[in-house]
Amino acid sequence: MFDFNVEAVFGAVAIVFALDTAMFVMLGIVVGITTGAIPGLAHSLPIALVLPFSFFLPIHQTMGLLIGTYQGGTYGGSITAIAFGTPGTPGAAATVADGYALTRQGKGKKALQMGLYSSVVGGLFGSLVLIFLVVPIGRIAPRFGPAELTALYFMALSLVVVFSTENAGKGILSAGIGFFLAIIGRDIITGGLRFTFGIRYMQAGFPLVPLLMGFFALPEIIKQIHTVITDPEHAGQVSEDGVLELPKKAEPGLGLKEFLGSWKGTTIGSVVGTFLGALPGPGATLAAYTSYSVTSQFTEDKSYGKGSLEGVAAAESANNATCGATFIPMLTFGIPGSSISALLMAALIMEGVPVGPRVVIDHTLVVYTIFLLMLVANPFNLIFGRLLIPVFTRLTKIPAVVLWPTIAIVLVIGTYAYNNRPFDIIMCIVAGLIGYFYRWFKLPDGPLVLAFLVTPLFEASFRQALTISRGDPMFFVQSPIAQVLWVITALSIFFFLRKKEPG
Amino acid sequence: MKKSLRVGGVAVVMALAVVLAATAGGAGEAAETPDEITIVVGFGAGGSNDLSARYLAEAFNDHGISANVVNMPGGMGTEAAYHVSTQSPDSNTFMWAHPLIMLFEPAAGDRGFTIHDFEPVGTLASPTFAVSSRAGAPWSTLEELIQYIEANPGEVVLGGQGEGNMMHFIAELILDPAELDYTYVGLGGGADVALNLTGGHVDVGHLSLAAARPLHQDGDLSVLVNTQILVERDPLMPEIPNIVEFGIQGQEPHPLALWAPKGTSSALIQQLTEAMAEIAQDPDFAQNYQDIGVIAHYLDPEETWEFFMDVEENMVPRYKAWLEAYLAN
Repeated sequence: MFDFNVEAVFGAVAIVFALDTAMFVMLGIVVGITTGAIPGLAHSLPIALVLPFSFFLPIHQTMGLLIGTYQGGTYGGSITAIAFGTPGTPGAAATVADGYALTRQGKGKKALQMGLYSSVVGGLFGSLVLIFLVVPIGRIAPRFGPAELTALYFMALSLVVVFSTENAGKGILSAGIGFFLAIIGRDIITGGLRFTFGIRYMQAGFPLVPLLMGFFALPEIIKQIHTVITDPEHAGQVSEDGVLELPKKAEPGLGLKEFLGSWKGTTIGSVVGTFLGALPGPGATLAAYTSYSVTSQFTEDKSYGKGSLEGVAAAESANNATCGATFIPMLTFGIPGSSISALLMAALIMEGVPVGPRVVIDHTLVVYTIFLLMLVANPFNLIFGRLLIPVFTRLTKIPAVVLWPTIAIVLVIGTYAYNNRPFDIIMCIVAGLIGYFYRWFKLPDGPLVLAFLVTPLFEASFRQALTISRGDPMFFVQSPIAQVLWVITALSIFFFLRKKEPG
Repeated sequence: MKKSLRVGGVAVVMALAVVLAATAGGAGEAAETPDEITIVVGFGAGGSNDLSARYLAEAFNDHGISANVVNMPGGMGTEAAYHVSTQSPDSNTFMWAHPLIMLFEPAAGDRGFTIHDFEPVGTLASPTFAVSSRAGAPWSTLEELIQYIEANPGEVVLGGQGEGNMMHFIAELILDPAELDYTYVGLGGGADVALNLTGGHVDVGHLSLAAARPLHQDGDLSVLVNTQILVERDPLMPEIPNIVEFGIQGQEPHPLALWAPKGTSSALIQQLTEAMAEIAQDPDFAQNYQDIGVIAHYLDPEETWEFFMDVEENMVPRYKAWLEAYLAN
């Protein structure tokens, strides 16, 4: 069991509050925010690039750099999501709807600040849960086997489909398209090829980052460049009705009342993000969309989905809350629950710290140092985020004739950098066409992204559960965890249907 | 307006600089100096495949050969191998791959390449895999497990890494489903197997020894047997017997070798081979490998080719026959 070790706490404080450690955390934050804000550079990429530093840096500096990059990158993804409607990272995809709508209404600064503050709150919450509840939560994670995960993924998908739109039919259609895109590639069980059309590169399936980049960014790029050509006088100057004169006075920032007014979104996001972050598989994107959907049922903001600060808070607090929680399976069992925690675990191993169930006992000082670094990274995130917001706010004012072609170039480079595959750029363009189709028919994007993300996880869990039970469907409802999840799913659908009834 | 443009311009330039820096790995494929090489890993960063390649790259750097690692996950490593197979011989791009990628996957279906599109540089790493059972299982050895399955048909669930692949084939060599009635379930990677074992969702798991060892020491699972092919007892857990000690031919051909696209300069291959031979002798390097559950075991290009060809001739046909029968059921 994890006993509080005062001596190790003081040791960790001395390490973390040393100038060199703080410098590396700051460096990580700056690298993370900057790369996170570049569409395509999923935040595992900068972390992977930073990983070799563990060969020659001492452990506290390495971990400071990695954790700073992780936290900064998770927040940084929201910047372009809000400013340009293009998520910098997959985890920020849920931020686009409200964040970019706010920018189009001339409230980009408020949205960016809400994104930052809610990210910091979510990050702090996740870090505190990590510190105080690492062992109890860690012991819960392995109880999610194939049957429980099937119920969890179904719940997440149903929440997003039924809550993402007033028109459930459109939500189901959108999810169906996401489902189809997700099954392209090799069958996870038999290895058989599905919808690859004889194209060798399609065997790897539709890649996530090029899909998100193309889906969100390309339609906007096409629209803006079209406006540059057809209506150059008003191109790039946006407001509620599409066009806006450049502000004559400084754009107002987020007020305390507005921030506190979004407490439901921030709270739900922090809790949902921490819970889903602690489980292997789901990750920041699923957490953000689930939080966003759940909050939609509790918010009183009529503009939710069309430019709501609470929508930004719900998504951003959730994706940053996963940062601390993702360490939980790693520190309790030595099992990485996500690609990011695998990278951090690799860094620890390369630093000579064998990660396993005993790491909190055998390397208490290292674990406390990680805890404190997670906490300290949040204020640094706040400081550097604040410093960078004016820059990104001004970026939205760059003439469209320069801005959008530049975003298109960055998008192509970032998409290529994701996997070093030129074919991904073609996939990005295909995703852009799908995104254009979605805008045309006003289909909700949440179900597509969630279905795309969850389908392979759901399919794997579902087939595994059926295999283990030798085809017995009752296996899905045998455990109390699965039962609770199915009940929540049923209630959410019931709640939605009742709400839809007239009168 | 002008100020906005200036700020924007600076920010765009900064962003482009970061992107270009981040894509430097990809750009490294067209290295100008012959000594600058790119090692492509077919899995994500952080696993034993990746870490063993990173330690090798670092050791190459110490030997004056500038090396960087690029991760290209997808298709059980075959996306990366296909990519490297299509690179020009002077691209200085190399593949870090084991027989699963080079032999078994192409045997399972057209992956766009075969081992004959490559030339061996050398083998250096051999990850050890193990069969483990959940905590509290009513058996403590492999023999007892087999007896238990015989006495309790249909009760035991074995969690492996995927279905229809080499590891599934090996698992069925160890526990023959024709003679033993148990359920095999294909899970994700080693982390997924470990979670399902510790959670009690499966009774037996097939995962790397490095992942299993800390859980074994903590009593969360129990390692029964290792399946290392190059040595019998793994120094990481020398008390764990090898599968051949039970008279079962279930050793796993997992050794990781460096591969060059066909036609790569023999001088460059020779330079790398010599460096790998020296690296293998470095005790610190061997210790680093041991810490990640990998045995540093050097085979020169000829030995590497012989090893892989032996697997191709003796195991792959059996695997193909097994796969056909498996898919037919």
